[in-house]
Formats: sequence, structure tokens, C-alpha cells
Amino acid sequence: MQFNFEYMLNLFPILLKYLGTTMQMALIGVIFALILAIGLAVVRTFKVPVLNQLAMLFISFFRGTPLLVQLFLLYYGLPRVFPILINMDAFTASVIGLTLHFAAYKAESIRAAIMAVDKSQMEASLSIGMTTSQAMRRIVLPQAARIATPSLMNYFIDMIKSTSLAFTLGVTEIMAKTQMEASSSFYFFESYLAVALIYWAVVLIFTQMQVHLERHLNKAY
Amino acid sequence: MIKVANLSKHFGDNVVLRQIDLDIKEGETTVIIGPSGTGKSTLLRCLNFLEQPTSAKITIDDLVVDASSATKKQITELRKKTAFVFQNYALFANKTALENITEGLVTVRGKSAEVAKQEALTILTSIGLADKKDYYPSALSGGQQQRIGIARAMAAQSKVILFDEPTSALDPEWVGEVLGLMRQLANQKQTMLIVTHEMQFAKEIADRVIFMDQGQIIEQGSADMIFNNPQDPRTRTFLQRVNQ
Amino acid sequence: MKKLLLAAAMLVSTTLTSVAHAQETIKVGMSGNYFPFTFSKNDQLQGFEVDLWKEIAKRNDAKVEFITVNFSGLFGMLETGRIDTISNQVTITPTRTAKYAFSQTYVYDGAQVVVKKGNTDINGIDDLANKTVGVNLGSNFADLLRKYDTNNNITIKTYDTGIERDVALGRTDAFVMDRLSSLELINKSPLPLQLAGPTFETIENAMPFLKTEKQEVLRLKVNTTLDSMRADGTLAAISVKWFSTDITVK
Repeated sequence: MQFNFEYMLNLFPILLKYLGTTMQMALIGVIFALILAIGLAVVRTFKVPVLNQLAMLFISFFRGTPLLVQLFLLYYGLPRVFPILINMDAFTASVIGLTLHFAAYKAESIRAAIMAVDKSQMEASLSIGMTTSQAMRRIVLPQAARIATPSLMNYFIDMIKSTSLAFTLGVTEIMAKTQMEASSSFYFFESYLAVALIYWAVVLIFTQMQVHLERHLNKAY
Repeated sequence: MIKVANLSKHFGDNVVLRQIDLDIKEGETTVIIGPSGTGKSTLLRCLNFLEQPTSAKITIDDLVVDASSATKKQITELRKKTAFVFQNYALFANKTALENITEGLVTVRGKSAEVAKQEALTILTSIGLADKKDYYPSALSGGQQQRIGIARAMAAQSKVILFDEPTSALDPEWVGEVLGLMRQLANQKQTMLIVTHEMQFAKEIADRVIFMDQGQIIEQGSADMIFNNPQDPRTRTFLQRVNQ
Repeated sequence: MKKLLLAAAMLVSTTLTSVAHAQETIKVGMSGNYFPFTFSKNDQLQGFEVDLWKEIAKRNDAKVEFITVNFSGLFGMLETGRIDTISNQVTITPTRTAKYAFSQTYVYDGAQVVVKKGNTDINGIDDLANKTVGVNLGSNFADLLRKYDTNNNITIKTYDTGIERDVALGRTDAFVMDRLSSLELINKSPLPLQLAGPTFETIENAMPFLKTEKQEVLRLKVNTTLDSMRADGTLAAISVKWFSTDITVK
């Protein structure tokens, strides 16, 4: 079987049109996931009563069930119980699902990173009269960020690729488009190779950004 | 002006400090000596609530803090009136030498960045480290880091500086410069409470020496009295062991 | 004067009628990856179902909105009312009839066994003992196979996609799909596949609707339209375009 190079090349512009949808979901998702994850990690680190138990439950559920199942529950399940949720569109539901799912994982990465910061950093901060909140914001979290970066980038890359599940909710992103085109041309190898290259290129770009970020974060060390 | 009454600390069944009463006079340098593991560091850490005392009434000027009812606000106030120098320096790893000093001034004492920078530079210059102001702790020697740790404490202009074995983690070559800075502070009549194993230094610098053992103060007095004429047999045994 | 008034009255009433008659939009769900019923080529959604619905919409002065969803999500979309119906060769089964109201049958098909080219062991549904057979996720072919698996020795593998590739690669012995798609697949794809035997079960495909008053109205409308499309040969024409034969009749 000959490899249809021309078909693959012609497919790129079509697929790239849908890359925007994929990346929008991933980028919006990662921002909200990070914010939520920091909150969860801090709550877990300081064992804030009630919130700590809720955080543990949240992390347990969203790590313990597959993303696809969570998307289903969010988009098809919940509207049966709360009819108002019918108005939530597939894109929003996908972003929410991705956010909640990955926040659970990221929270644990960040919590580990906070634990890895030497205890004396917090003690020194407190000893000069800082509140715990000031100490976290000015001294501990910035140092934890450096430690957590590789792990958090891992999850972001995972997020980018997990967006393909959104097709089950009707969002046509780059993976869905690949399947739909391949189903008519039957050039499966060419089609999937094309989308693989696009994913790879995107991840390479973000990996480079990570290099720069780490260089900046490692300035003090 | 610093009064500690009935300070005790239990870790579960383990009693680390029992009913410590302590008075520190303004401008005095007090040194605590004693065997390892006897609660000296814990005592210091209880004074600024890095450890929660099981019981204590701490008075600094007009601030009275009772451990059983201490509020977060009171503890923060207490910490603002004290400064702590750590055995492992505990400099803010993500801040430069200068920023280590300005951090407290800006974040805690609300000074402007400009004023804080000026004050910090003055202190750094006075200890001879102005040229290292933009260096991160990872690029500094142990002795330099500890001197900046002390500078951070000096900047706070607190009532008392608490030193928790400030030279124990230093390579011998750096011990001298740190002790030199502490000597400078003593001469400037900075109130200091120092836990140390440096007996020579203690003899030379202390206005008062406290000997602790098993979580209790065994005896206290002038440096001359404790080192040359200890009353309690436990004090004598300890001093013999450290060959003084 | 009378003529003028009459003309004015007619103008007003026509305007009013067209304003009052806002075009309804019918939301039709499909997978977009089931050639030649629904697929994408050069970023254009097309296929038998697409042509069918464009015609139905035209005849009812309505707009049709195609919503592509992975097959496993289609019924969820229907249940939550996000689509009005599924146009993806949904087979009428007793389980589905219990939950949904189907339109009239619009495609007659059959269950077909497909094997790798040159396979002389498997010649039909009876030769599947101790073999591994692939079926598509969410289709009813798994249930169909089990019905024929009286000795319980057929291994069924469910696929999201790639059902035909594993047979071509030799990972599975056969797959079961509808005859029409199988034919198209064999004709168009470079994969080495062949039909194994005749169809072993008639399949009637139709479009499911929720059992509500509103959807019932739409379902009846669709049936009426299909009738008229049969009558004037449009339905057959669409079929011939994609299959070179009329699949809309028994």
C-alpha cells in the first residue's frame, strides 16, 4: 500500500482549522484548573476544617473516575436532575469537565511541591511577623511553583490531548475532524499521522515555553 | 521588659519544658547553655510561638500574651516585637540578600519600597555585605547567609533578637565573622537571647548565663559566676564535659 | 378603489403570515464518521443522511442543523432534548422501541459478516464458532451476534473505530456491520476485505424521537414527508446517488 503523501498534506489545512477549538478548550481549562488546584492544595496543606474533607472528596472523585464518564454526567446526566443545566453548551461542559478533572491531579502536584519547600521558609516568614497567607503568597508558593512546574506541564499536555473526548458531547475538535475525514477517504494512516504531527508540534511549542519558564524560575538557584 | 512566666511545653506525654520563669532586661545579652536535647531551642521557639507553648504568659513591654488564649493577632504582634535567627539561616531562597531584608519591612511593617531599600542598604553596608545585595542565598557562603539572616533580624528593630544556635551549622571558617557581628550587636546594647555551644564566646559576651537541663533552668547568673563558680553539681558536670 | 383595498389587504395578510411563520430549526444528530451515510470530505459534512434531511427540511420550509457527535453520545443528546432526532442508521430494536418513537423505516439493510480477503474458513454467520468478531460500539450487532452464538464460543470485540482495520491486519477474524456500509467499505477502501455469506438478519433503520407531544408532531411530519419523497422518487434517487441501488425499499 502506497503512502498517500498528497492526501496528508491536503488534510493539514482542514485539521488546522479545528486546532483552535482544541486549544481554546485546553487553555481556558488549564487556567481555571490551576486556580482551583492552588485553592485545593492550600486547603489540603493547612487542613482547613470542613474544606479539607470536601477537597479530599473532590480529589478522590475526579481522579477516581474517567474523564469521559465525568463529561457524560455533566452534559447528559445532570440536566435530567437540574433542568436548568440544559442551557449549558457542549463547549462549556467540556471545559468544565476538563477543569474539574485536571484540577484534582494538579492539586496533588502542588501540594507535594508545597511540602517540598523547606519548613524553615515558612518559619522564617512567620518569625518576622507575616501572616500565613502572606508567607504562602510571598515565599512558599513562589518556591513551590518552581518545583511543581514539570508536573503541571505534564498535566497540561495531557489536557490538550484529552480534549478529543469532547466529540462525545458534540464538539468538533481536531481529533473528531480527523476521524470524520478518514471515514470517507479510508486513508487512515495518513490521516492519523497528520493529526499526530499537529499534536506533537503544539506540545513542542509548549515544551519550549516551559524551558524559558524554568530558566526564569531557577534564577535564584 | 521581657517577662516569661510559667512556660511549659508538652509533646503528648513528653514534657520538654517545665515551668520556666525568665526575666530579660533591656540591653542585656543572655546566653542559654546546657546539654543537647534539653529544650533550649524549644524554649526559644515558644517565645515567638513557632512552637505553641502548653502554658505560658509572655510579656514584652505592654503586650501580654497568654498561651491558653492567644489570638492570631496577638501572636503576630509578639512576632513583630521579636526577631529570630535560625540555625540553618532560613533566608528566603527566592529573594536576594537585599530583598530578604526589605521583605519584612514592606510586607509586615508597611514601609514603602524606597524607604525599605534604603534601610536595608544601610544595614548591609554596616555589616560589610553591600556588594552582595543582589546575590541569591544559593550563591552565598554559610557565613554570609547567616550574617544576612542577622541583618534581617536587625532590620526589624525588635525588642529582642532570639538566636537559635546561630553558628552550629557553619563551617569553622565562617564562625568567626558571625560571632563578630553578634559582638557588634552586643556592644550596641541590642537585647539578645542566645542559645549556643560556643562557650568561649558565651563567657566573653554574656551579661547573664542560664544553664538548662532536662527542660528546667538549673541555675543562672553572671558569666563569671556560672563559668568560674558554678553552684549546682549538674552545671559543674556539664562544664567539665565541655572542658571549660 | 375596491381593487386597491383588496390588494392592500392581501399584502398585509401575506406579510403578517410570513412574519408569524418563523422558520423552525430541526436539530439532527449524526456521527460524521459513518461512510457513506454521514462523513466529512474536504471539511464538508455530507452523505446519504445529510441529503435526506436537506430534502425533508426543504419540503417543510424548515432549517436543518446538523450536530455531529460521537456515536456513543448521540442517544444522550436525544434524551436531553439537545437534538430532535438521530439520523445515523439507527436500527429498530425492541429495547429502543420501548424508549423512543421511530419514524417509518427509511433504509432496509442486513447484518453482514466481513472477513479478510482470501479467508475460506468463514463463509457466513454459522462459521463464527471460536472466532473473534468485531462490532461497533453502541450498535446492536453485538446483541445480534449473541443471539446466534448458541454455544457461547464467539468472542465479541467492541470498537469505537477501527473495526475493519483489525480484520485487515489479522487481529480479529471478522466483523459484523450492516451490508450497505460493508459494501461501500470494500469498494472504496484499499483494505483487503470480502463479504462472507449473505445477510443473516434483516435490519430496518429509522429515526428515533422522544415520546413527547411536541416530538410526536415532528415525527408525523417526517413520516408524511418520507411518504411524499417515496411517491415522487426523490428518496430512491438519493439512495441511488450513494449506493447505486435503492436501499429504501425491502
